[in-house]
Amino acid sequence: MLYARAPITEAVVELRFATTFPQTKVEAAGRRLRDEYFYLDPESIVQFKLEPATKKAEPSSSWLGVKLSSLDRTDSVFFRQNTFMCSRLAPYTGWDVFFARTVRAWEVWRKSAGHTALSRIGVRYVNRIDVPIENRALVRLEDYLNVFPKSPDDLGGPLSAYAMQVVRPLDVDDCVLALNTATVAPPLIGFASFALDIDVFREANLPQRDDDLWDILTRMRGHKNRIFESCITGRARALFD
Amino acid sequence: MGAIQIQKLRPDAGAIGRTSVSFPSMGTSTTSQFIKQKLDDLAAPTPSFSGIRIAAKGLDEELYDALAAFKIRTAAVAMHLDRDWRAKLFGQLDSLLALSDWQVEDAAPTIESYSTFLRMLTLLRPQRRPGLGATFDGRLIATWTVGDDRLTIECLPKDVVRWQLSATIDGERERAAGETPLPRLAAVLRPYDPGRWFQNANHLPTG
Amino acid sequence: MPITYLPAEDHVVRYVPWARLRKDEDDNVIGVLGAAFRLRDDEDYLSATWAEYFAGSHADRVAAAVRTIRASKLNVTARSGFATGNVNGIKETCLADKGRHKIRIIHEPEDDNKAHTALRGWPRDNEDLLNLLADGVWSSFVLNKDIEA
Repeated sequence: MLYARAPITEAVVELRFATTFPQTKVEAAGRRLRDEYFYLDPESIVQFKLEPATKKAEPSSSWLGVKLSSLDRTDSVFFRQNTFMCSRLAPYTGWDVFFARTVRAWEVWRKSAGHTALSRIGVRYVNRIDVPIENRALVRLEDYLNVFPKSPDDLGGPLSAYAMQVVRPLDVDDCVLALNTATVAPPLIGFASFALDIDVFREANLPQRDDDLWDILTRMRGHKNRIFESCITGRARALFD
Repeated sequence: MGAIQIQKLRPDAGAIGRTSVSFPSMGTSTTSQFIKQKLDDLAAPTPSFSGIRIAAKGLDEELYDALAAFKIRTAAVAMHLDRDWRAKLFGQLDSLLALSDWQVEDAAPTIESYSTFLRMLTLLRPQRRPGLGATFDGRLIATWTVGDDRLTIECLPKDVVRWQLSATIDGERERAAGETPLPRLAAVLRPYDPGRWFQNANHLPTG
Repeated sequence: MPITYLPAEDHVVRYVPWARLRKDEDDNVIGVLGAAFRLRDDEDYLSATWAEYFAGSHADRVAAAVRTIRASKLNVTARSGFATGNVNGIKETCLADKGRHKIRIIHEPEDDNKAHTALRGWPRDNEDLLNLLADGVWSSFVLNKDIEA
């Protein structure tokens, strides 16, 4: 279902590799795709080490990969030594556009790195439901979501925050669902916000051919859509139109 | 019943849009360590939203990082913004933070100031974009000017704004100024008919 | 050494960076922001350049002041501007403020700017006054790109 104001804050296709690729191949892929993105930034992972002598936490960084981004920073591709990721931030412009970019970036990766055996493929959509508070002091979760924590009423006052993860096999396409839902600090004044983070992934019977990969990713997107619709209420849908 | 109590806290800029996780008291068992790891995973931003340079090497990197952070932060509310409006705002940010016109002695605008700025825009929902400026100590300034009527809003951290205005009301010139938390801004501006600044004449319906 | 106070009818020119120019939503420059007249933490006075130090018409003097500022240590960027204000107007506006600021506008030549002027007694933490100056007596401006080398 197409929404005028889809609550998607981030759409991700992630492919994890069964082996680790050398930095040179990762950087080569970045250079090949460079002309199609405005920014090319190196990625590093930062670690802090406590130095007993100085009693200071000294940072050190090690190279992780490259990140290509559009001028407005909404479209990104990450090439790392053991991961490929294509991401789209809000405003979401639809699966077709996002998928086409994913296919293109993967094609470039394959030209640089060659055959890439996979260990995990994932389609993840992070949604944020922004509920206008108006003059309310309480928001009933069940008015907007069909998945939320349950606790005895006599524990105390109403919830002030929650974070929950549900992991379930989907019993189709060898897929598993990892669903995270939580309160988030609302970006808008006068609103309460809830994350509905849906990650459909597969770690078994991974496709060897690109055609099969695109086919399964498309089906995983369909599973994601079905899960999303079943997790929200009509009142939530009204917020997106 | 799953009722959530609305929190009236002013969020830190870094916390906005992030999962609210309350870390429990420390534990040493494998179970408590496992739970902590799960909570870390829940609280961690995705790669698109993470990535901070430890220490910018120079002004160019400082401005580059600031611009990236602002655009990524805007993505968190992009579904609530008109796309063309957002694209033009980004053009203004590109212009404001251009290295070639930045004073080397000035601090880059902070994400804390930008957070207030963005929340102000989503609260006031002006049809007309503001002109942009910045103080030497890292605060964004939003201005609306229609003839001699001027509204200037400096965006401080933690949803506080410092505003000044001068306007002709019923034939008399008035000036006003204040420092106000964002949730009150619309109310303090209302007596001055802020539509004079925020409405875009091109968008007014005909007939 | 005698103190040279600028005559009331004279003018001072202050450099205004791109970030402190008032603009519309399309980046057209339409004025000066009050923030252009703020003192930094390590400043005891506001710096400007004395226009009448130079000869010629008013426009010639302002242009000469601009060129002097460009040649100084100050980093003048392409899209910056220069705000011109009348000495008496500035002093009167500051005095009329509820803070009753008595500003002394003094010629204090520097090695890189012989027309340098210090505005001493300049208020801190009075944004309303600075905006009033930017909208009133110190609102006249020229853009750097409009002054030839």
